[in-house]
Amino acid sequence: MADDVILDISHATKQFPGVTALSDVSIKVKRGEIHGLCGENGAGKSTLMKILCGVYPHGTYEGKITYEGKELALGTSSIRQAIEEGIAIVYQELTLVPKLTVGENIFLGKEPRRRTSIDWDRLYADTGALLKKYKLPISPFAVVESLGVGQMQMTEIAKALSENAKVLILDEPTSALSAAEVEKLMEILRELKAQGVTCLYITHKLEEFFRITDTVSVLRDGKLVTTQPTSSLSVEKLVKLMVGREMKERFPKGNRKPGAVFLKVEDLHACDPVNPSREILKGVSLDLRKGEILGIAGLMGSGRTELVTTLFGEYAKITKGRVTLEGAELDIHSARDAMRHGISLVPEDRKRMGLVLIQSILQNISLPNLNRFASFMRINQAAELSSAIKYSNSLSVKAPNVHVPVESLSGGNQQKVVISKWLMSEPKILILDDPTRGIDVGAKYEIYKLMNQLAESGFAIIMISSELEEVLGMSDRVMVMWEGRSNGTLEIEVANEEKIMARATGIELAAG
Amino acid sequence: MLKSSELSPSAGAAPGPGGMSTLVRSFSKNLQSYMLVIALVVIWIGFGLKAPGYTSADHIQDILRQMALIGIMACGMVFVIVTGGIDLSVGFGSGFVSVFAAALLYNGVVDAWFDKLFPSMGAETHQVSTAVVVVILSLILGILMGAFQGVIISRLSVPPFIVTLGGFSIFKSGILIVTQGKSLFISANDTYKFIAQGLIPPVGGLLLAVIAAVALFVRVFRARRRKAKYGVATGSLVLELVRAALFAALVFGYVIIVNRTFDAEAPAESRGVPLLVVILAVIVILMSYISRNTRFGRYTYAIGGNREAARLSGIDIKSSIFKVYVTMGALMGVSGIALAAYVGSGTTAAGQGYELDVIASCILGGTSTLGGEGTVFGAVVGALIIQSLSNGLQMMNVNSNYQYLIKGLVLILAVFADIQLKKKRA
Repeated sequence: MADDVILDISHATKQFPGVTALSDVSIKVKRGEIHGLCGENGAGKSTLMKILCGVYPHGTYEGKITYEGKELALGTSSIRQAIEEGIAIVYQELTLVPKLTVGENIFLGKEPRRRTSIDWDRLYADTGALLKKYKLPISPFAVVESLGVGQMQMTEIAKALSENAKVLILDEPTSALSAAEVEKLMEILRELKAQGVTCLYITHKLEEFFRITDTVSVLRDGKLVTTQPTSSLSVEKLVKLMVGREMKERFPKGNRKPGAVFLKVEDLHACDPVNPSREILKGVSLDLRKGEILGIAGLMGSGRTELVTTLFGEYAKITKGRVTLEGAELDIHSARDAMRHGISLVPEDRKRMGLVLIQSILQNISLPNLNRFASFMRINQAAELSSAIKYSNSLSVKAPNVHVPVESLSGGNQQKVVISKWLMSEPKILILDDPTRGIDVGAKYEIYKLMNQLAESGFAIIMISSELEEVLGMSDRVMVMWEGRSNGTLEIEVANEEKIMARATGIELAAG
Repeated sequence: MLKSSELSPSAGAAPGPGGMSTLVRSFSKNLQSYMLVIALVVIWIGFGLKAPGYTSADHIQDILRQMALIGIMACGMVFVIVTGGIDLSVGFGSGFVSVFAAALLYNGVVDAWFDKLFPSMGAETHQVSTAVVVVILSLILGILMGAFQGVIISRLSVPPFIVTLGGFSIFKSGILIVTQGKSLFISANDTYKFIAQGLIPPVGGLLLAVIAAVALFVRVFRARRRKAKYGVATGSLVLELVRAALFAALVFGYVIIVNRTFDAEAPAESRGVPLLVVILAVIVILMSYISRNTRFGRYTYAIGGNREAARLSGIDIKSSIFKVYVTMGALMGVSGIALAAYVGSGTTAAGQGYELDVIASCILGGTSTLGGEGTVFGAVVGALIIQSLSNGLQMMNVNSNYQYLIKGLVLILAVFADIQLKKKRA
């Protein structure tokens, strides 16, 4: 039955005071298909998901949802009810308890009992059976915090499936995964599909739609643009449908002229600060030239983030090797040392490491830079305000004014605030650790343009990225990391995805 | 009368662009901060009707003086809680400083120094000099106590809850060792007692009120000018002026009441603003300024808001945290000095239970126990609420067994209301 529709969303509209988040959206999801959902931030994807999984109960939205031939009317305890109906969601942020085992997590809140106590034998036996059924290679007894991100995701999926989910919603499941882990996830999804589970798949990484989905629905400004078989689409078409205008290129062309070598890292070694017997950087060398963008590629766990945080003085102690800036050896032990030498780091996780979310744009931008406005007992607030406005305007941060808390901004604008804060410190070297993670296409483009401008004006930029296309699209050279080592630097003219992956997986080793 | 009936209803409802509606909107937006003031007004009206003497000049003069001991420390506790910490030692800490000061005066240690160094000194100069030296030594003691706990918390990374719980016990022991179970009376030095018991002359009080009022209005206009210069939207001028005027009126009202300006029969020695209230006001203004306008203040809030982001922004977290506990220690010192002068002696139970009132003041005043949020001004209003409540219950002769029960319930209720309001806003 090819046209067997499991989920029929018809004319769904959801309004919030002042905004229509979802407007007259109708989508039919076929049984057993993987249905992609595509759109920029704020397009209405999350709202739609929240209706399906009961966060917004029946009656708070207009329209009708038919599930398994019946109208889906989720009441007040609607999230629980949705799960019982067989609609499960795996959120972007993982919701596992780190100190508990895989089995305990999967059966959290529904532990099998024998009289009054938990029947542990059955719990672990059931977990084992479940993991085996869907071919998930994890142990039921593993403590979650000891797992890699990819395995945590699998646990999360297993948890969703443990209630006999018929429809599984995946909200940006790959945003924290390495290429190898993404491949593993794809395999699992294919397996689920073979077993008849229907998937709704949301992602910002457009290529993934073509790797896994059968059908894609595109949302824009709360409206459905189209639902088409994936085979009839292409990345370019998808971008056009999402943005609503032609985007000639995803990566703006720069006019960069890299200069002399500026920062030189030679054979850097460093150990895990928590467990000093474990070496995490096992010999990293790189050159960074003025006015260039150096891409750093590598799988998750290859030491990319550890490398840049160590250079920034905030991670591990350097045990061997040299870092020189214009020939002078650097000795950096803290973020302050790094800033004094003109090195800035836009960290990986902007919410956890980049921003004080409850504070205003102004307070966030000026935080590392207060010394330039302050004497012992006074901050020159006029100077601070004018400077913050200057930077936030030059990066076109979209906000009513600089006094609004950054938690009210979108991901892209938050990232611009983090970049503003570091630009105000007038660095010479800007390190960007996965700067476009979780940001929509339009905002990405603006950040790329900004990177080009900065490099053109003489900044030396290091960009870490999990997306190979981004590395290839934006860098002048690509340094590939593999197991804590630098495995060669490729000139952009000769670099391609295959070559980078060969280096990142250690199939090909750099000479010397 | 005629004129208003001629106006059309729409004109009456909206006096100019951004008039009444902006006022209402801005009011509902700030409901949370007004809640405190509303609660205070309700308490005062309630007890004013029920408890005889609650709104008398005597009580009004007294209550601010009584709350000063808590209020001074609440100003420092806001910083501590904003960093995500806590200080349980402030009660016995201030108590220890108070018995230290009392012991110096009781034993005549400092007097003896002056006798030896300046044998020809006049009696009055002698007394004043002794008081000054005792104050300085006590303040240093408070700072050292704060620094001691601060070093352990910031450098050795022992959680503040544990360190200050230890401090609680240590300072309590210190009190017992110094007093040896007796009360140490400060009978010989009236200058010292003036710190907490003295009133400043009526003219002085009025002068301070005028300065405060002018400063309030100047601040409103300066802030608006700065905002306008950089094109930042300014709120309703009317609202800001009304607020400043109300506050100025409160200050004047208080000064007039305690000066007993319209009470010809009041004895001269009962007229005037208590010196301790002025000390409290100075500390509130200073700490409030530090919290907003200095690097130290801004770093404190950033650390509480997101320690990791603050660290990666190049902030020296350890040194900031250390400074926070040193500041707390200094204010513990001030409070201890005032406590000894207030009671006129150093007692074995000095400062007992203050830490709970101080922490409760901050929480009532909107300081988040999660860190990152809280204002000095709110904490002081919180302290006033607690003091108003205790005094009212006492004056109504509520059995003291029940007073703690009521205070505890009020605290829980207040935080519950705060959470509900925040939910509504989000």
